[in-house]
Amino acid sequence: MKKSLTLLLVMTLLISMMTGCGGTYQDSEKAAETSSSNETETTADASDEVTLSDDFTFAYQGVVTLNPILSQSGNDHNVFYLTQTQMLRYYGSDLQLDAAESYDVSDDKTVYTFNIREDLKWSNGEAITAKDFEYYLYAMLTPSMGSPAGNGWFDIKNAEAYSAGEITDWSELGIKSLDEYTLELTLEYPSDTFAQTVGTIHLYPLNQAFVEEVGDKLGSSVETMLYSGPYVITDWVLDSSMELVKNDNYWNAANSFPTKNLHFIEINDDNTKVAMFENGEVDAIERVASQYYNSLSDYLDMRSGGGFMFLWVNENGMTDEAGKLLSNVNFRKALSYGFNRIGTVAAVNSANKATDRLIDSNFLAPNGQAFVDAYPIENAPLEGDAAAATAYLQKAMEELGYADVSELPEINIVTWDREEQKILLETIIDQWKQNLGLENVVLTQYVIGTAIGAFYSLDYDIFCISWESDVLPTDIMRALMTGGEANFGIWSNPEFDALVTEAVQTLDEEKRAELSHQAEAIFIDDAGIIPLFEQGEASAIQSNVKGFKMSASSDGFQFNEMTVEK
Amino acid sequence: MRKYILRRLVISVITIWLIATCSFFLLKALPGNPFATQQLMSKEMLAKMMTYYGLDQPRFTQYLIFMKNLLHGDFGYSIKYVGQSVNGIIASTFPVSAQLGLQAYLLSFPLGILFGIIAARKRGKAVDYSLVGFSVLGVSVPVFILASLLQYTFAIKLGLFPVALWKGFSYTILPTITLAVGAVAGRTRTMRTLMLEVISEDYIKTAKAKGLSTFQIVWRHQIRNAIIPMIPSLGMEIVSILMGSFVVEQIFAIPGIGAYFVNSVQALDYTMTLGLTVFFGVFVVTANFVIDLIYGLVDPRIRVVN
Repeated sequence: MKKSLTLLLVMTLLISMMTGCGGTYQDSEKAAETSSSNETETTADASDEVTLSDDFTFAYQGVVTLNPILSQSGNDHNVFYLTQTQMLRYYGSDLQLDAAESYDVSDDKTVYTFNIREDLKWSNGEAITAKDFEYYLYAMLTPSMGSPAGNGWFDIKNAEAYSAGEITDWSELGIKSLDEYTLELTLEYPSDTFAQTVGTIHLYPLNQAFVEEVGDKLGSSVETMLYSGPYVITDWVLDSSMELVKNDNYWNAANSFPTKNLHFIEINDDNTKVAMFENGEVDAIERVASQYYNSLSDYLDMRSGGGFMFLWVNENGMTDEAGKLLSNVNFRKALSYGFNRIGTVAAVNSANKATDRLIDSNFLAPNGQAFVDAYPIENAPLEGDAAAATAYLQKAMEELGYADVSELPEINIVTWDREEQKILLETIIDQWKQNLGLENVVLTQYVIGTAIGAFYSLDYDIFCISWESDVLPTDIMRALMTGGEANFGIWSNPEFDALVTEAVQTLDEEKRAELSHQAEAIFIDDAGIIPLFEQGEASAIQSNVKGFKMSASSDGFQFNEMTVEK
Repeated sequence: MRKYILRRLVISVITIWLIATCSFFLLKALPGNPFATQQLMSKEMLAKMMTYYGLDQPRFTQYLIFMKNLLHGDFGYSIKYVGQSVNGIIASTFPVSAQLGLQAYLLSFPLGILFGIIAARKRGKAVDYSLVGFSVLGVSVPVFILASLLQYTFAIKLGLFPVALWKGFSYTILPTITLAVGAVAGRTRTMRTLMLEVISEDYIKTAKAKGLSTFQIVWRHQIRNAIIPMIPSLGMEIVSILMGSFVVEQIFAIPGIGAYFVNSVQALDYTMTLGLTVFFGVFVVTANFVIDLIYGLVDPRIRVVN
């Protein structure tokens, strides 16, 4: 008996191992086949009644906290889109009114007055008033409340000074609740794009009494948060799952967010996630790893923009020799022209979009064209130009006195230790080797905390990093000017600073675009930034889900019009 | 016996203190800071955050605060998971890992012993060879391959079990089997070897001479003596099993404690890492302490020597 039992066990194991090998591709093809036949079925039955399901199961990236003051992650804000109302809100690239019924802009463009709807309610029944929005800004800007993201609001009068502790009287800020349902924001300088800023960095309400009652625990569990949005969270297991139920008290519950129950699950293993999707256990995946793009190609929803990856060159270098080499414009041009961005992106992650510009291709110029088309800049062609690159390299070597590439000093490219970063940079380094004969470029990867530490302390020759595009073309430039958020003393150009400062304060759209263009030109040449690509990602969505929306340029699970058919 | 226990207790406490201290200074020696993981921030913002979390104070002061809180059993709040107490996270995830580990252990312990006995008894026969072959395979195949294999075969293709998550007993079956296979394989080999060693001992010859049946010899003498050398290793086995297998939990999307061990160091979440390390340390020390006691009880010779 025992003998046959053990033999049986051994045989089962061996057989299962054999069935295990060989079969993945066929299966995913099968899944695609059956689903596409589902597609044709539903269109054929379009005339029949389509029953909608109340449930949507979503493999999401997870949230770290529900506390909007201390949150540092876009993932959190994706969920806040569903659980909190916002003054103004983006749906794709449309700026919509949400908590605000309307808003007025003063003639000199310095005062924005928001008229708030009067029927908004917290999940505990209390009314939402202008004071709640004022308190949110208070919490974001007051130093003792510890928010890392208050700087988004520095356009408001005295906000920056208050955040730095230079002003301590809240009433000196340009934030006033004129009455229960009117919030007035006064800006530091005139702007006709502030509404866009409000929609992008999110103006949520925050209930002061509740926050003071709950204290440090705010947003750490379902009970330690109040909800004001289209959905209410009924259950949340950290790093595992979240249950959301439609909030019937939401002001627009009748006309938006048709799906009643959202079941979010967090699955960190890409393979398991895709397996569950193909099994039909999951209706959509927020982010699909690039190696599955082929097998899930019928279900992908790709989006790019909102941020981009670039090589940031340290002209001081880690050694004097490296510094001299990197300060040489021709050498930097050689690097930029010396590889094929399009090919690189296709090899690493086809959701990304190759770029050689500092400005996001989603931004529009005043004439309605894409900004990057209306204001072109001379920079490396996206396919690369090996001949031009070699010429630049020769010139650089002549200027610096090197006879041969083998004499060039070592250049360290530093980045964090994600697999995609490794593949990306090794691909680029390899192309430099092929096209320019460069053997002196070395890739160093650190754990992310250490990598960013190296960035702050300028311990690199080239750093591969990504940055968000925010609201306007000038936003990223502001971060990069002298003393800006991303500029840790590595580069300074007074002409650039002057152009950006002027652009930010100009109301004339054309003039602003022109100034941005000039600033970009200086930056690309002088600062030594080598743009790589605009970041993209892809979701996978079952064919019976309609209206799924996520946007590269705005946060949020934008399920305003999403339905799931049975 | 009392002196034995007391001495072990004192050593345990000192060990835990050493673990906490070394972890603290090692962790603080790592470059970087916990706030740099999500997105870049300006120097002023960084300074603000460091002050807010008390990280700008001299290292020794931070250490004293850490020890003081530790004595109250307070591991503090996670830096990455804003507002979540470390105690809270451990309390909600450890039971999950412990359940998985315990199930795997309860499955693998008797099965491994059984297979070891069978292999030893039927030495040289087909059963022995297949069991030894199985145990070599079981020990060599990496856990993540086994997990993916079982998941693919039994959950995806055959649909017998759920693919992932942790929502009921049926969800626990595949992960338990995954963890158990390696343990069974290892224990089979060990038990077989020990049984075979014991069989050549004098007291077995005496028992045979006395006229005891094979069953009585195996049950009364062979097994008991063979098991004793395995007991000290039980301590560490229990610990590693209960602390969650990061890989299995990841593949089966189980909300256990394993992920936090790995991610908290990468994120430089000081409080979380220290909390987990001390928790783990206490666990190891306690398990070993208990095992030492059991060992003393099981084998009277140990007691006398001490």
